[in-house]
Amino acid sequence: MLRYVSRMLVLILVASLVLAVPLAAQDEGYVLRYPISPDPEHLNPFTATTIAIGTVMRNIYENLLGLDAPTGEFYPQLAESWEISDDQLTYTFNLRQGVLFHDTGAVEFADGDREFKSSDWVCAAQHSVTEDETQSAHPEWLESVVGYEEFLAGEAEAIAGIEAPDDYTLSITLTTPNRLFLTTLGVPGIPCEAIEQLGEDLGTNPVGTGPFQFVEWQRDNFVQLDANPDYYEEGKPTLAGVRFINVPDANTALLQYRENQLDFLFGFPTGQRLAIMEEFDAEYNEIPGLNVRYFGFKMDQGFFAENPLVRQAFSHAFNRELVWDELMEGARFPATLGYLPPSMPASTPANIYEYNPERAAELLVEAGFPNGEGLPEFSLWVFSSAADELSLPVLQEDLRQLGVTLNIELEDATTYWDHIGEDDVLMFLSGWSAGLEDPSDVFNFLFLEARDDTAYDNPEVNDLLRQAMSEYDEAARNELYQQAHDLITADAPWIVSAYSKVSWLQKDWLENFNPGGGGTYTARLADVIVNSDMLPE
Amino acid sequence: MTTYILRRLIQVVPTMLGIFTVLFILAYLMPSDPLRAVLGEQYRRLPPEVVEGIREELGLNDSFGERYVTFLGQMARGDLGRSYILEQDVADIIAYRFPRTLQLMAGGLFVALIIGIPAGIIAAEKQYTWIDHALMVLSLLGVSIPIFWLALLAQLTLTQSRYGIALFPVAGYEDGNLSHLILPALVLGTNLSATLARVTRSAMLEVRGQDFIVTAHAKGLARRVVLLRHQLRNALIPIITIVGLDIGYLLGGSVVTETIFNWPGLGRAVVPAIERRDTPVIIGILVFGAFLFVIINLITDLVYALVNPRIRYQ
Amino acid sequence: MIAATTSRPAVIDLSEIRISNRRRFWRAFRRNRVALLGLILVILICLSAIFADVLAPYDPIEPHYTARLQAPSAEFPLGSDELGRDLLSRLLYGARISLVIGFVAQSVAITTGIIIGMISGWYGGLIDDLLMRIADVFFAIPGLMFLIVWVTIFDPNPVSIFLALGLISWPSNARMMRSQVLHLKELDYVLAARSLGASTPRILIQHILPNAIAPMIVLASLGVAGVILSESILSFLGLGIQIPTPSWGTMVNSSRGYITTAWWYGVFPGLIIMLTVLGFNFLGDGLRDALQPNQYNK
Repeated sequence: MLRYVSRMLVLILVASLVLAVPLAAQDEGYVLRYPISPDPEHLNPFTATTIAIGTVMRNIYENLLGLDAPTGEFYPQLAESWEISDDQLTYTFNLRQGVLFHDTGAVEFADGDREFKSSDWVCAAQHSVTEDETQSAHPEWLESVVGYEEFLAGEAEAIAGIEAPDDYTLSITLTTPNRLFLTTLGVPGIPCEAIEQLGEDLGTNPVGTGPFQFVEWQRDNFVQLDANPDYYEEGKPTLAGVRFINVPDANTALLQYRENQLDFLFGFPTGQRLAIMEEFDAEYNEIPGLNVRYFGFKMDQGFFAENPLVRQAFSHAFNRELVWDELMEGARFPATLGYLPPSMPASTPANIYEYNPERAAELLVEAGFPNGEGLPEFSLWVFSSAADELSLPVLQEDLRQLGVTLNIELEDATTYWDHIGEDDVLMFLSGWSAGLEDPSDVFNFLFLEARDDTAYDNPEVNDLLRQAMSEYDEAARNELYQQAHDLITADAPWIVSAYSKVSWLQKDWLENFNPGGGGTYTARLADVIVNSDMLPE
Repeated sequence: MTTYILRRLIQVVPTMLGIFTVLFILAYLMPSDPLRAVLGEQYRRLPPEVVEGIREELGLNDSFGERYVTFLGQMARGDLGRSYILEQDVADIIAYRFPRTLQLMAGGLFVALIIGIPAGIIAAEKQYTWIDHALMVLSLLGVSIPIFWLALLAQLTLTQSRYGIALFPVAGYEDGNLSHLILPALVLGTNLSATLARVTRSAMLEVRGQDFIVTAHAKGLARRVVLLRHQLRNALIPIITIVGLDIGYLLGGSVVTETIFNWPGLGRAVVPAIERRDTPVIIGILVFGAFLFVIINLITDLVYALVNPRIRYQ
Repeated sequence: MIAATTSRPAVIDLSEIRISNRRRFWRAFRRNRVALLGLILVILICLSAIFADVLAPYDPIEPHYTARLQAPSAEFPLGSDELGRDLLSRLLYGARISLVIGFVAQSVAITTGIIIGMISGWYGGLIDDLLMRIADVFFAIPGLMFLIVWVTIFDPNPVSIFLALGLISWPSNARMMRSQVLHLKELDYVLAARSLGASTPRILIQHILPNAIAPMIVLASLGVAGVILSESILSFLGLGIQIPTPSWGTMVNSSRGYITTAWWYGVFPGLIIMLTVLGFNFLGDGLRDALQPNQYNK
């Protein structure tokens, strides 16, 4: 019996070792070890909605145009050049010739090398327009194109506004001018065969034209990409590949970075920021971000809707500097300006709510609640992952000084996002990440026609925002946004808390890693260079 | 014998049905708006009709009865469904992760056996001496240590040259690389080794008093031979029972261990799936875990019946 | 029998345990130094939970921004956390949560286990089959995962955690109770009581229960330890009872970022969980030994 058991044990061990087939040795060249969290949900460009998916996919798939994150300028990807008609309705793209799809073996092509052609793009465009949300979750890509509705309803064989006169030309016609059309045009360069052959497996076998091609994905472990040997841009990428290593916990990532098991550290564990900046002084980088963090008030009904002075009082009472500069060790910039990230145009409103407890107390008196007398107890709803954010106890304490009782209600993220739209939630912690340095990317989602959970709806603001959407002159547009921003600030639907910083550590042998304010994921990894003189060993 | 096996096999059916029902109720009650869960603040970028359309596509707007029948039908066919979010079948998710969890469980079990059984034998041999007492107190200590705390301390001191020695990789998994396995296996095995030490001790003591051991000693067999050939062999049954019952524990412990050490196993999938409200994945893993437990205990019972004919007639 | 929960009592066979002679029990218990140590630990922790508001030098949720992450000192005996809250005070109040959860959840599990076990063992037949299959179901479902799903559905408030922990730990108790009843109901005095026409509830409560209670007490003591550990795991995963109530597991979780810069923050909560669990394990273990006199006579 003993012998039997020990044999079984040996068997189990051997079995588990056999299951583990060692990876082939890497080719020469540097494979970037890029931490990613969470693990990408899938790699299907049509249903991609999260940053994790985008982080990996932007290296595999390309669009007609790329958006350079640090400058906000478009640059040619699959389209070599493009023209926009004077009426802003017709876009003509001249496609790059000789762009080859990745040869990963996942898709069978009729003849060896397969070149990207306009028909592939049309294929992908049509695939993206469907009623089935599990197939495509991006109506915004082509919504404004002529013939979209008819194709969606199944009344047309093709989208009328999309034409491909030859293999290397595409022309797209819109129903109305749309200033952000190029920004939202996310249709990927993917072979028709992939859509036809892969079906449900599209999300696990990406085949694109980008600088890196898919090799292997071990879920919750890593995604391995290798350099695309046929990439059209001469000399790029210089890396041999990228391995996106899934490290969900910031503490673990720090331990791994320190032991040189990762090339970057993107998230800093709370409370270790200063210590990290000190320890890795030369490896620390920081740029202003595009996220705004705020406490929102319910603006269509309830106590706060009826008491604008109380909203203003709270805004003055909150000591943002204490939270972000001291307690959170500079993790974000305290929001001393307005409702937009400071790098955007029109980001400084005429009137701001600086930390001023005396002013706050006066406003409460004005509102008829001296020392908080007569005020009900308030609840602040918070998603649980923000539970350790020190803005919460500080706000609580600041309001207590005013004589106001604030209870904190934690809910896990899903319940929370569902709940804050309801009428019983009068105050909540929230945030918003803009994808562009353009006020529209904040205002249109948060202050236009009660779209946000504050239900903020000011007809004057709505008018200004709509005008700005179709205003192609930059100065005039920014003036409209400035007016809107002033109106919104006067209404005080939020206590603005902070603007984000994009900060990260990178090993000192890496160069040319240039993300934009949207986040570190916007950096183009094809540009990254390894300075081999600096490499250890 | 055949009737016993048949009866025992048939018993599995109502148990599994019960498991399916309990888990279905959980799945039904589970608040699921997978898209919102994944997107957080960015859900505002999606038009509401997309979010609602997904619910419809996934059948989340169907009634309790409809969903129960569908669920039972799926389970009966062995179809665990498809993840709401991951664009992967749950069966594939389990097929990918279970071997990895199995490696970890085997590692943990290995650690537990290597530490637990000798410790138990020694304690039994030295009954009521300080060695026995020390080993038993130590084993209770082992049972009482919060596994996550042990894991964090081990990670800090054994993977960082700054705070200890960098003996092992911090976290992660690499095919065929045992160095990643050692630390999580040690952590997972500690608790179980403590239990095994206690079980081994009492089983050894139990057997020691029995006639055949006394006879063996009287025959003049070497002490070591009696100990290992006769005493330990007969003490193995309770040990194996414990190991069988501890599959559930190892699986549960893997949630913490895999999360801390980034081990891409089954346990690691649970918390993210919860956060994403990915009900099919969660329920699939629970069904699988319960099924595993039922099957292993079925096998244990049948093996007993083979070994010990008396059981069949009970 | 061992529960398939997240942590297990360190015991296998309790079926021989009886409270036959109180004096002998006490003598055996007192002789067992480990058990005494366990009892003292448990009493100390219970006292500190009960008198937390007297003993705690500070309000456990009041921040002191100027004294953040202070090392243990006269001012903060066990140091302070990232908001300058006193760690000792938080641990003392945290004891309330852990102990209440431990005791209440275990009471739910033991009571349910005793009732179901008694019914199952006494009536046998179809009822027994049905109840034991239900026990099998909860036995088979992986405990920690069940717990995680449960708190997602019913919120991680104390009541739902009592229920969930109770729900996953009753089957082992029921099985133990059932085997006791099966054994006891064949004994002469029970048969005698039956033939004298005593009612079933009367026999169960007066004759069966007192004789079957000893192993249940041991199970309960070890079970409290298991439940406290389970709650701390849940809190560690960020799914436990929410702030500002300081739960021990939550404290270990939020200390993760500070472990290199403020060791006391993570070490003390972990130690206190271990000591509490150890106390209950020592106690249960000692009880078992003391209640099982023949082991010492062997």
